[in-house]
Amino acid sequence: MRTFKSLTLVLLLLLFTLCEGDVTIYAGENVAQAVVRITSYRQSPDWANPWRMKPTEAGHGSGFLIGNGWILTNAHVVSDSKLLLINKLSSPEPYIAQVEAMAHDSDLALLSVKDPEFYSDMTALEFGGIPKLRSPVQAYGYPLGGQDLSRTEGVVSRIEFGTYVHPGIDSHLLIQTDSAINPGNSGGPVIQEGLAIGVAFQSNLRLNDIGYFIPTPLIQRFLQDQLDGHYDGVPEIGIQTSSLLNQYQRQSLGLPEGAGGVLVERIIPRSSADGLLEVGDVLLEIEGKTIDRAGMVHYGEHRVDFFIEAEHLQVGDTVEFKVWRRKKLENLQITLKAPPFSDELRNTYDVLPEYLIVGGLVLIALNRDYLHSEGKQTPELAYEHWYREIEEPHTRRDQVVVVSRVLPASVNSGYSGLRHFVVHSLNGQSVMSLSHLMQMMEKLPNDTEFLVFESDWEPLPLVLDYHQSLETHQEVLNIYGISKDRRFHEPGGSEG
Amino acid sequence: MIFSFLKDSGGFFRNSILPGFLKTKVVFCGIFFFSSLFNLHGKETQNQIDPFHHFMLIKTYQQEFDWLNPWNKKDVVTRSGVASVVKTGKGKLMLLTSADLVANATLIEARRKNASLPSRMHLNRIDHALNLALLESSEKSFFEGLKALEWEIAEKGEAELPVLNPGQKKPFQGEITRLTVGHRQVRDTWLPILQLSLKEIPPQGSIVIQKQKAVGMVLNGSQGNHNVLPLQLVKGFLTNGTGIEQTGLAHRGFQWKSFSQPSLAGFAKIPENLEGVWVSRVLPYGTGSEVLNVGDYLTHIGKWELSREGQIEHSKWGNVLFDALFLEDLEPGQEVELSLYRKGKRLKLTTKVGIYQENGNRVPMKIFEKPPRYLIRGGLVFQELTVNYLEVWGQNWQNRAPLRLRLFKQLDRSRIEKFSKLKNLKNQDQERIVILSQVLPDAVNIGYQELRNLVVKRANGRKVIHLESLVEALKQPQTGLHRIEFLPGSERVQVVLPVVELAKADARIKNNFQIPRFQSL
Repeated sequence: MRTFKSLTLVLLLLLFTLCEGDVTIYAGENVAQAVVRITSYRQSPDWANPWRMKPTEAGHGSGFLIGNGWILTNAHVVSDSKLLLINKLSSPEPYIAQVEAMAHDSDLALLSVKDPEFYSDMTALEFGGIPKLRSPVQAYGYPLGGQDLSRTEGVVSRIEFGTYVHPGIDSHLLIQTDSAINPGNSGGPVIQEGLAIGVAFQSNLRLNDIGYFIPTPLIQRFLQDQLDGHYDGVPEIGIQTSSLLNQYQRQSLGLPEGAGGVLVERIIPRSSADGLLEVGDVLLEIEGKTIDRAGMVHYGEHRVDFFIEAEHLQVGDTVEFKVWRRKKLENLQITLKAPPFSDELRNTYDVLPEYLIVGGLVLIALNRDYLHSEGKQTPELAYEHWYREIEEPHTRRDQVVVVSRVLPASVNSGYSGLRHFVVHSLNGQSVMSLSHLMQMMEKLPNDTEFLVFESDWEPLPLVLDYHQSLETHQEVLNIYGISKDRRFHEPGGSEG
Repeated sequence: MIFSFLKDSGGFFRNSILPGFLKTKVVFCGIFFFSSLFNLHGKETQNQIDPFHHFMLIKTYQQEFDWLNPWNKKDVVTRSGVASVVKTGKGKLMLLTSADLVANATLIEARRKNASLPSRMHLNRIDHALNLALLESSEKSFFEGLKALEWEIAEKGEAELPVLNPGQKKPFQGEITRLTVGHRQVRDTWLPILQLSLKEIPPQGSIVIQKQKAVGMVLNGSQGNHNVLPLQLVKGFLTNGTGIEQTGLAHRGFQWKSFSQPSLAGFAKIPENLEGVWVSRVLPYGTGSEVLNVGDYLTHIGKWELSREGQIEHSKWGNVLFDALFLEDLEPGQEVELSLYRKGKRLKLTTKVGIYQENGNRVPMKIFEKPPRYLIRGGLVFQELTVNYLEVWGQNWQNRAPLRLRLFKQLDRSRIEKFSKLKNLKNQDQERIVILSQVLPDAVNIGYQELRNLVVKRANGRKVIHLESLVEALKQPQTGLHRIEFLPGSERVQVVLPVVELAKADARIKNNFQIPRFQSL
């Protein structure tokens, strides 16, 4: 399943880590004039202290002009950006750019420049299709953030599904090339016969001369998706499948001789497939294309993962399946939805962390960014994040609420060293999310003596004197220089 | 002949939660020249023990099992250390050394003074909780001319370590500074430990002497500070030990926290400023396990008052963690009164001093001497998850082993808490995590060859809780195919194997991969 594929390659986003570049060749005028250098001044939140931001840092990437005055680049080039500057070929003059659309799931972004002067002398690049294997390509961009445009040449080595490092958990079609793609190339076009056939975006550190670019079907899907001013995302079918290469497994399913197909082993709750497909179904065809026993379909001259058939579609589109169910053939139509998993499973960008401070306890909603912070991956948090929903779906909560740290104060005396306390209940009531916790606290009766936070992982509760926590609340915030005691994105929780 | 002591002590306090000085791994080096060593003729004077009457060097050839390929053994590793002559409870002379030094040994050699050849020693008993081992010899004359050490209880003050080294004729001079409590990682035991201040690094198994009497055995340490197992624990091992892992070690039956939150105390209705510790987990063994509850606030063990840090005021050693009481003040089986607060009420409960046992873990503590348990069917290699298996990923397995597997071990403590009060604990003890560790590729398992480290939940519709239950389930297929199911979220949730063709496939795989046995249970 795409969602749960592990990251087996060491992939590198190309934006910030700069390496020695290849031989620099000045490109032909038509392509070269459309490629720009992007400088992003970014600032990301400090997940350990969610009320404040980390220091600002600068990064460089590339982009190129396409239709409608849009500049296409990678989402990771412009994520968390506070100021975007764009330089045209051989020009020292920076132009201020704005983000028009962002697709973190497919690592793509659209920019625009208000100054009409920027567009003079520029011609938009046009898109090509999926290249043939071993056909030559050229990667354009500004590796090392240098002033001069670089062009490197190579061939298409492989077309496959793979993990996109920027979102962290999404897999999509990607194309591998041996054309040198170095840090700073990110967002630059990959060209074949004068047409853009992809956007350079990541490379493999463990292998020599392995770079990847995002192919045009995913780019076109993104451009189509954002036309209404809202990006819905790449839809997911929402199933886990396994190959049927083993003859005895095929026999156990009563499949006809010579049949292919893949076995549905798990339906993700609330996904497109939920209620339509069943565990034990064998998917034989998708959109009229035969799915082989390894789960691949013909895609032009290539064989790729059958999920490709949903890759270019939009949320709300339908997908036709031919299914072997209980030894009979059935035709099913599935309406595609956005991925059912919550945002906390993906890397987070351009969003400030939610938090709530009570009696000096800093409460947050567990997400991938917090878990990947240094020292945060405790066994309990790892289980809550990755396994509880799969192994104990009936115990699932909307968010996993965690006391990430304690701001030492007299009200929480004795708890100053406490970290990563998973809150499952407050005063005996289950806590379903951070905003739910806040609502519960707002409804506590006046005669409440204690705030008793309990965790399935901890034998002893975390107890605060309720009235003391109220009385000292502002004092604690003042001492630690915190202007607001909470931040919420949901309608249920207001920013205080 | 040159012996080089280049190996660590076996991790007595490795990764413990104790202060740094207790956690230090020892790497000791010393060169012992046997040829000249046996030409020395020391006389035991009033002030100095002749080391050659009581000690000798031993050399061990250790061969661990290969937990990745459980039908194999790993390469032989050679280690050296010191053994001392002791008299057991039955009055028989034997050699005492550390368990780490002789664990999984294929050959143990000891060289007596004046002997031209080493003598083969045999393991009589071993205790990994205490890190002690006893060796015996089949040679009748082996102990002729050797003397058993006399033992005495240690005190603070000067101590010395006799040295079996011709270049070091005087014993090392050190000082026993205090009694503390150490954690033995491989068994999760908490032991009273003497702290020895000594600038040299003695070999493992060295004996600490005070006033001509042995007071303890060096386990490990670093330059300047060493951990010494005190006489009382050695004596208990010599008199009570009856075989493998028969420790009889008095031990606490709970885990505790030194929370000092006034708010928690107020919530639990405990008098303000009352010293004591919170019982955070009740273990399925040990002192207090029968009567304590999670959330109890323990204030006294017998006559000893507990501080918020779990310390008692010991008449001899001063402030020390209460586990030190199990050295000589509290003996197994002895009645002891526990004073505590429970739900706001003061209680005095009488219990008996319990002993350490290894149970309650689905992922067992490190296994020594015993070969891995496994089962191979249709090329699918099934094992029970063990620390030994996780250590395939190295000493840093807690970060490097597959996440789902290591969580079973890392979260096992929570499970102990959950089940410790259940009466059917014995059944729980036997429950294990069965994994498909690898697949030996064959025509019968095409499509499964890449599967690794999947947790088995059911086989042929039956729950799998250990290898025996898997064997039983595979004897009762519901159709012509075996169906094996894995934990949800696994790379593959189920596999099937043919019933009839399996025997032929097994024979083929056995021959192809040179597997001596297809199961070891």
